[in-house]
Amino acid sequence: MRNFFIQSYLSYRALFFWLNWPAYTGNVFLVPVLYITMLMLTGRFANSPLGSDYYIKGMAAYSTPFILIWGITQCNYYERVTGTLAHVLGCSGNRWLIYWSRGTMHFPNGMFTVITSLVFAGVFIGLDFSSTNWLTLVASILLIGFSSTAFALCIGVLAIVVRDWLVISAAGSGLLIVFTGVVIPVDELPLFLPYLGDVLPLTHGVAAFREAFVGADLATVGADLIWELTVSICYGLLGYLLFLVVEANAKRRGAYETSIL
Amino acid sequence: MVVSSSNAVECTNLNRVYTSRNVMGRRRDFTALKDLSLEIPKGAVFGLLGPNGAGKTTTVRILSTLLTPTSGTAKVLGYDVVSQSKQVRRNTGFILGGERGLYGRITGEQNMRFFAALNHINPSDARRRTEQLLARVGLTEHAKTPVENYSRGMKQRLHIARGLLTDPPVLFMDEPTIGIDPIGAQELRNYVPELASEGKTILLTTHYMAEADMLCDAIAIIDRGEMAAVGTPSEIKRQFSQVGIVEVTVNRPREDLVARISELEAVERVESSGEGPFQKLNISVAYGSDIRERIVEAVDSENIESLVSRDPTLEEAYINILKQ
Repeated sequence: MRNFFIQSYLSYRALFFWLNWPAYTGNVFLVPVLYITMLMLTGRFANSPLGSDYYIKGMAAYSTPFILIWGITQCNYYERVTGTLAHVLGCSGNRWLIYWSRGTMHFPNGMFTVITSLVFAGVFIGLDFSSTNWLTLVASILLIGFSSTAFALCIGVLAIVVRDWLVISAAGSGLLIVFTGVVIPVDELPLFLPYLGDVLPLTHGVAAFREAFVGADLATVGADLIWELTVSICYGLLGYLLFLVVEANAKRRGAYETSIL
Repeated sequence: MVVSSSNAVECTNLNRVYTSRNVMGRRRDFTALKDLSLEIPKGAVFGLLGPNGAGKTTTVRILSTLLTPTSGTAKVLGYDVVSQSKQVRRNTGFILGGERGLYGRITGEQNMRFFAALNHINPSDARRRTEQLLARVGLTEHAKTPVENYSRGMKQRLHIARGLLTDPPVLFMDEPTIGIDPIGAQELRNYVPELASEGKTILLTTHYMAEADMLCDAIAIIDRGEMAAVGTPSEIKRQFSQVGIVEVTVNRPREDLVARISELEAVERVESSGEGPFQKLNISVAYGSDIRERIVEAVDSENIESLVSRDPTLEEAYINILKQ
């Protein structure tokens, strides 16, 4: 396990390019705060029937997948462009550990950013915590963190394939903001799109997160939390499988430094 | 199952075809290796030479399990590189030339610790081994400097240290001295006999013939993916050099000197370079013929500063092989 944490820590130090004060504070603390403010004001001035609280809570929960997706995909991308991928995959290391080590150190960032968002919303925008069930809130935050890490690692593999992290991050985070109930209630989406939310991370996590503010206990949101956990495990396994396929394909095509497509 | 053998590396009819498709979906094949068979005895320093695109790096990548062959087999210490890739990785280290392949934002020591963790070396052993290897390649003073501040030679030394982390019995070195200044390259070359004396088998690819001549027990020359020659450096020089070389330095030469020498029987080629009043002639003559006296007559002996007859170099043999 110590080797797993050494790998996690050093790959994070080596590949996370926002690891300097301006970039880190900007992306982990400032961006979510701006997003919350922007969406809250948009909802308020557009006279949304949902009320500004809906956007504040949704965006606070969304801040976690946002930082995890952008952080993890950039690390995977830089692994490829710095030419270290061949050395990593040319070693005898356990692939399962290599895969998960790329997300471990990003998880705390997801926690920092949601805490910052909630503190900001409570202090400056007046988000009401009086009825909050803290246990449910913490459980939903942790599960959102887990599912977002699994999802980010999964789409991060695509960043290795296409050698671009901006497109993948934008697509992944865009998918979540639209289809998971962050700013648009899932059941108001047209056609089959509400079902899409069921197979995405965050949808059931954010539902439990919202319920926590009105005092729902763990038993009440249990189904949502279990669903979120199931989705996390599925993305964890799918991403790992994809990682193995990419490795096999890179070996077959000789493409650690060139296009794997 | 491991096949007991005195060879560290065995390739049999190895083929590798790269396939690409253009935007219209039309398939284009490029054959990088064609029926390459190779044997490297345990403990040998084996040079793999060839022009750009000959298939040297492809061979190293297949042997390092980074690339699968299209057909044929390759074994390292008896382990098949495709079906027993884990065992192959545990027993090999690879050192690739160039500036990439290291994490620039962390220190040299951290790079080593990272790859040690990746290879399941326990942390206390990793610390000790990192210290030893950084000292061995002369990077102790720079152990805590981010690699992005390293010179190219320092990065190359770190590549070597990393390749030795697991103390592998077989090392693949792909153009380790490429782009390094002469002093740095010389330092790197010194590691090869040192590692060989520890019993390691080394496969070295290089463009530098003098380097291969100096370091390798045996050499294979490949061209367009096919084996063109294999043997010890002296065997290759003898077998493939159809010329002998006479080097003459002449003071204030006659104007028609090159033409006069070119006309001599057995002379195949004359290369001339000037330096002040001196002209240096590099005369290729048919192998085994001694025409030094006739050269002296043609030059006018009083003006000759030096005249040396020597065997061809590996580079000259190499050029002959590739011309064939």
